[in-house]
Amino acid sequence: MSISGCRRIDDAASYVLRAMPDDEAEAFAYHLGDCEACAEKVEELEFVTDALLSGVPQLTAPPQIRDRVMGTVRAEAELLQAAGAGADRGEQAKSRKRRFWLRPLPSVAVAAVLLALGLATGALLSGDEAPHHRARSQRRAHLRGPGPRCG
Amino acid sequence: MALMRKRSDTGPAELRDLADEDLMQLVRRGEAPAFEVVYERHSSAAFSLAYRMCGTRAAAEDVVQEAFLSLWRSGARYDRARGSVRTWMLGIVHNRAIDSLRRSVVHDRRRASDEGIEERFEARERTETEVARLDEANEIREALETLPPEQCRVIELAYFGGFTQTEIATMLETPVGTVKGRMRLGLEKMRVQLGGLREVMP
Repeated sequence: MSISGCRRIDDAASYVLRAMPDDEAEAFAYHLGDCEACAEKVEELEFVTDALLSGVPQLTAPPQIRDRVMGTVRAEAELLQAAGAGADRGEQAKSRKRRFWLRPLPSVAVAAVLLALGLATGALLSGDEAPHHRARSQRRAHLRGPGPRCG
Repeated sequence: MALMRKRSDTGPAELRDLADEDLMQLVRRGEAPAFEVVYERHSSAAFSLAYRMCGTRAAAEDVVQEAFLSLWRSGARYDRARGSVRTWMLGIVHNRAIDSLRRSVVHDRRRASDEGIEERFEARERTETEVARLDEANEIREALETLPPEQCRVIELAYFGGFTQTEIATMLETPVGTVKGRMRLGLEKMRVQLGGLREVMP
């Protein structure tokens, strides 16, 4: 833990909790490159925020999510396999940049089908979420009560 | 070595013996069975986090689905040097849930809707690893809940509620500087309390 001070040290907490507006977070990330005290503080506090991800009541995932996820995953895996994409997908992406003219058709076909699947998934998800779209100011009023678990 | 074998040589039982990081190498090659094992291991933790943040089953399901498909499609970006697969995956869920909260009001109903869901989803047999994870989750929650209420509250609102520091300051009628100070003090106390915590391996 650093003993040297920085007037922005409290920002480290807001940063790791994702409570900063995007533009401020970007500026703070830039600051981290120059300020050892803040960078150390971020690292120290990220241990806690990583732990918090698991520190919630543990439930069992409903089986229908698995069916939806694995349905899409298997379909995409088959398409990749059919296109001869047995190689590492990261490596494949790199090699496509270098040699895209050698095998243009499979790449285009896979991209088109993946895009279609992605659009279908996106449509499904946005369809579920659309009714909840409202102004952000509206949700503030609902959360003035005491926290459910604090103190 | 399992990873050097061809696709057909890696059966379901063998996959279950692999560590997450090794499974991710197979996922990068587009192997759905390897991804399924990763899903089996972490989907409940993902759903638990999403539900904690979104407050409704439907929104949590959407977030988990989006997060795992994103993980499947971006597996190549996983870097084991930067942490475990579990933390990486939960980070994706957290980001998705924050995005969802910030473009909706779905969490407004959380206070009214989350009672009772634990019993509905929770009752079933647990493996040894799951029991260890449950203990770990309880320890972390306890560390948060035993903070002074004003520190717990700002951490809770930011990290699980998706509110920005300015929104929290307005909500609590407190200066932004005070909110940030409480966040830091609370996290520092938790850091000390969780000092001995080690992530449970699958």
